Amino acid sequence: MFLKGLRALAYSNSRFTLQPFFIVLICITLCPCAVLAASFEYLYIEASEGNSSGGHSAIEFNDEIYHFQHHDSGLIRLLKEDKQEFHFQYRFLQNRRIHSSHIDVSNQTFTQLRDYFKLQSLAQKQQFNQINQLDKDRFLLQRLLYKARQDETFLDSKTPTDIQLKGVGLFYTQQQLGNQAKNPSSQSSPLIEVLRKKIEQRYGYDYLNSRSQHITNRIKALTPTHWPIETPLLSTNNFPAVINSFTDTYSDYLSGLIAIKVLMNEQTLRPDAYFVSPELITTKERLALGKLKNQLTVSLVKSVNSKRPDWGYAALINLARIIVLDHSLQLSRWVFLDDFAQDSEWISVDQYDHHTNQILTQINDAKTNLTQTRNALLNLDDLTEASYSNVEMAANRYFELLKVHEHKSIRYIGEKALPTKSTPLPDWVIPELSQQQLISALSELDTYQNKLIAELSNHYSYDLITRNCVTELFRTIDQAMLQQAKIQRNQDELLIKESENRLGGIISAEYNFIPFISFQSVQENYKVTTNELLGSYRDQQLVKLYTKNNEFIVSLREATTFTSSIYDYNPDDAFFIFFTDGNLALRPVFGLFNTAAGLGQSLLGFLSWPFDAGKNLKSGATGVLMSLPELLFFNMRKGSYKYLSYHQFLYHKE
Amino acid sequence: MRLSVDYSKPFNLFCALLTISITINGCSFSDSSESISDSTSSIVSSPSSLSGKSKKYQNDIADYTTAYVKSSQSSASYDSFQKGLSDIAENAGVTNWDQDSSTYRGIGKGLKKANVEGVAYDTYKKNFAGGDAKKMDDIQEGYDSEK
Repeated sequence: MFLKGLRALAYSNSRFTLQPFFIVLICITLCPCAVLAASFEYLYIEASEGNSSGGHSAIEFNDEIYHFQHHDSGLIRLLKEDKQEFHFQYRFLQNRRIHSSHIDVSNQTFTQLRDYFKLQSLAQKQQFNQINQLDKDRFLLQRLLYKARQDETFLDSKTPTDIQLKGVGLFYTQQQLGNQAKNPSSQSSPLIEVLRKKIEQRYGYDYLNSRSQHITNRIKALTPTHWPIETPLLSTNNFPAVINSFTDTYSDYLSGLIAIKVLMNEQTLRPDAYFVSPELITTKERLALGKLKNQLTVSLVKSVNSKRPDWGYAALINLARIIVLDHSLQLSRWVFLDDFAQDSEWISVDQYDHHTNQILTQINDAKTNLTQTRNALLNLDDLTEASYSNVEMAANRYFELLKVHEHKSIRYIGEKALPTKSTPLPDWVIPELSQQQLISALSELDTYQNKLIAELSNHYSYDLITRNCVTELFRTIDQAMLQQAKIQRNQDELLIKESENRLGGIISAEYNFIPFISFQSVQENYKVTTNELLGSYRDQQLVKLYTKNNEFIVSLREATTFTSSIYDYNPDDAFFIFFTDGNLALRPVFGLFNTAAGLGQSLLGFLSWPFDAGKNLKSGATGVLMSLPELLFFNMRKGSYKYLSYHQFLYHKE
Repeated sequence: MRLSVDYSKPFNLFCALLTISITINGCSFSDSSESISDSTSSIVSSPSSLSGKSKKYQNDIADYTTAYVKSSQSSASYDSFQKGLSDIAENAGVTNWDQDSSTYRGIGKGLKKANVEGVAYDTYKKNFAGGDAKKMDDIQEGYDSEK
């Protein structure tokens, strides 16, 4: 009837050719939903053992997810994550279901919310970065004071931070670097000699010497950071001032100095900085690698004369990559720099032994990934440094995982997109500062740091009830809603009005600190159009098993950790017997068994305390604590899957 | 897997109290002191497409530029801005970001997103490009591409 009326109106005068315009205009007038052209997702992540045992919340804008995470500093911070990696982490590795609510909003509201979350995450990153900068400055000042006075009281045991020079470890160990000042290396690289000559051709024969002298003079004249004592230091609405600290500047100068030293001394790569793979280079790959080597040579020549502060690091990476590309071309085999961070997480044979199938899947996926990235490199028109970094990462991953076949410990987490092998600061050249200057700088730093920590605590101190991952999500939404407001008065009224107009309603952070309660509030207050339950890894595997086998038998078999075909005991999980994510009616009974299992492990842990430093006891106690809610029909014990492959998540079919 | 769920039923107080009892560990927790300032280590070697990564890199540069420009603080230094670019580039596997067109297109997009116009835009463009004509063209291209 309505459409008939529209048609009649549009066709009432055949001379008009604006029928579509009228239809759209009337639709927009009569149906306000038509202007809601965008949407975001509110995510509620179910509770489970481990971190965020009470559940978690996040907000999803297209491919970006924002959530608050509690850190061991006692502060809570907004983080931006890649959507796929977040879902992989929670739904697969942690095996949790995610409830996703689709909320329709206007384009303007979507942009306002997304941009505000983005700005907040960047601002907080900058604010928290200052803590590290201050720690490093303190360490450097204390070290300089120690050198000046030879007095160990200036070495603060509370500051374990060591200052590392990224990329330097590709060429020198700490000891070699210390000796370099006295004895140049006995080995030399003919390739670096060629590269140095290119630089000398471009900038003059004495260029490197004079640049080295210039940097040395700059280091000697370097003065400590003057940390701005403004009030307040932090603001929730502004991106804080970006400060290049004393240590950053000093480290950059030293990296530059070392890059020049590598060129002057024709220093070879360290043997542990790279590896020769058994993979042969194809003819097409040879062309690509040759082109890339030339590109990097041009970049190297430019980088030594660059005005960017960290040009030394760039020069070191360029040099190292040119060397391995040259090795690759000479050996006709792929040679790669080692791109694992020094603090990478290692897993031992004992740890992965029970998960052989998952590790083998990972090896296959890593091989596929390496093949894909190698193929991508063959597009010579779009050959970039980033595409080579992808091959380097894929190769590092694959060949590290292959060590499983040799029953060796492997580095499981810690790859970097660029090699960062580092060494501690050498003492070649130091800023020429008097003891008084150093003491004064330390005092200024203390004042600033105390003020910063006080303000950080004031803004971001974690509290289970009043400031957690859920409350801060809603507070950030509220702040985003008020971004356009110019007036300072009646903020509460304005917030209510804006939230109702844009989101459908307002959710108070004070009363919504529990993840699943807040999820219910979202249903009741926001313009939720659809809800979706995104299954956990176990859910998905069970569905596959049910379609191929007898449902009853599968249910029985998969109910316990002893008989399950899709779960191998993971020591990260406290010991339990029954999965309680399935049958609601039997959950308290299963919970009873799980509690008893936790008590048993605790008892055993009490006896084994002298031998395992209380690890078993702690795990048993956690098991009891996590199983008790199940007596009241609340699901906790799901099991986790530490060794799943990211490919399995990316290419699984829902 | 998509399951249908009815969320219309109200949650009772019993469940709420129960949840409080199990929120002992509270929110998602990171016990790494490094991660508070951002760990770039990844749990995955993402096989996502190269064009996707390049777009992400450019967007990250744009967002950072927008935030930097909006801060407008007198104590902010251009050296530190460049260090921020280095961090983003490092995560994207790019060492020579200062010679990469994507970086400058990203900066241009960021300037547009920050609503920088007129003389202020020209000044930023010249400073960020270090007076290099090609880099200024790339910034302009990024600026024009952002609507």
